[in-house]
Amino acid sequence: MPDPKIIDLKGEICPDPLIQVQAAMKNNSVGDIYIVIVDYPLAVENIARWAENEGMDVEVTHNEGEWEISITVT
Amino acid sequence: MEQSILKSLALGLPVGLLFGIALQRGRFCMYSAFRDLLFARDTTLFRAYILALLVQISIIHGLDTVGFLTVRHFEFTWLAAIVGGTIFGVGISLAGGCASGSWYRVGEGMVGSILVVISYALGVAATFWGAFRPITTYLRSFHAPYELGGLDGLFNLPRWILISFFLVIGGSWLWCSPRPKVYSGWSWTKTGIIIGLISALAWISSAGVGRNYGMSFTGPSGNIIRYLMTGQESSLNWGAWMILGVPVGAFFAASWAKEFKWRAPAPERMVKQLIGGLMMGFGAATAGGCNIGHSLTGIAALSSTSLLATIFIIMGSWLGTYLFFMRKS
Repeated sequence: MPDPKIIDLKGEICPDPLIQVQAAMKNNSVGDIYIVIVDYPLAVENIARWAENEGMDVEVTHNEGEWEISITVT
Repeated sequence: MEQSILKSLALGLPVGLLFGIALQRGRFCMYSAFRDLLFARDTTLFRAYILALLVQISIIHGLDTVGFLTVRHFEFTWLAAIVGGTIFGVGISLAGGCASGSWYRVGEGMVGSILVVISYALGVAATFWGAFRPITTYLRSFHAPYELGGLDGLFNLPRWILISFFLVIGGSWLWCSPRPKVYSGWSWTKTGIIIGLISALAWISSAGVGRNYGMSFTGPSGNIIRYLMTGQESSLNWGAWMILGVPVGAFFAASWAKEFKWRAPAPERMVKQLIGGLMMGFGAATAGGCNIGHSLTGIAALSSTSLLATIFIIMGSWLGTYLFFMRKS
């Protein structure tokens, strides 16, 4: 299993988080795992929804105003 | 404190607190709702907005029909709606949030949103009473005949026929819409229903102080600056207390969900937010409302100028997102 790639977006606000995730994941391949770290509540939902709509697996964990969105390319 | 101020506080503040809670839990930012339509092909938040509109329309026009409320449309100041709406729309992309979105994020601990709220309120005050007033007065001098200011008059249809049409078309679209998994906060259905109910409650509550309108953010933001600068107590009206309740309600909601955290974007991003807030203030005061006064309340009141302003707010937000954020990626 490849090492997860970390995309740290703490401090980023709309519309940057989703744009940066999309740019960072442009050249992905099946099995790649990305861990996206955000502290902007709205970005949790729109990044997770985008990844789900792309058919990827999504898991979210929350810790005191910070979220880790784990995205696996399938 | 005068009795009228206490009455405004008692009626306005609780509505603002509830609105702040709902905005925070629903992540109800209309900049995101508008932007995601084009750039993420995601209609989730936009569906919450349409549902809130339909709930509010049904309740307020029902209460108007039985004589409990007075629902009237705005004058059709079409040029001000187009120019002001576009500038407001570009402004919300730079600010990273709409008027209500920025106000509630103050309660989440977003330092950039505090800047936006201050510059937005200053922009409104400068447009209503200060340096920008002549431009706005000129733009607002262009208006269509009063009867075209209502969507029922514009389409020449009886009011309830038009409302039924909206309910059937909008309701069927929402009924067939997906209900995606939610990771934090509320689903779009819960958000839409609750925002719609609070928007209707705003009409009822503010009627208690003789104000025949629902939720609005532009006038109240300007009035807070006016009160701070002049001490004029009449500026501390229903709207001012309501809007002060929004970040407080959002703070309670965010703290309860362990989501409150002080956080700030990079300095250059905050400069963009500051400029965006000023544009929002000028745009909204020119158009006669923001994404709440026009897009949520004005459209529900069937104002033609609100629909026109909203169309240009949406296009302005797309233009700003493309020019300032998408092009460089």
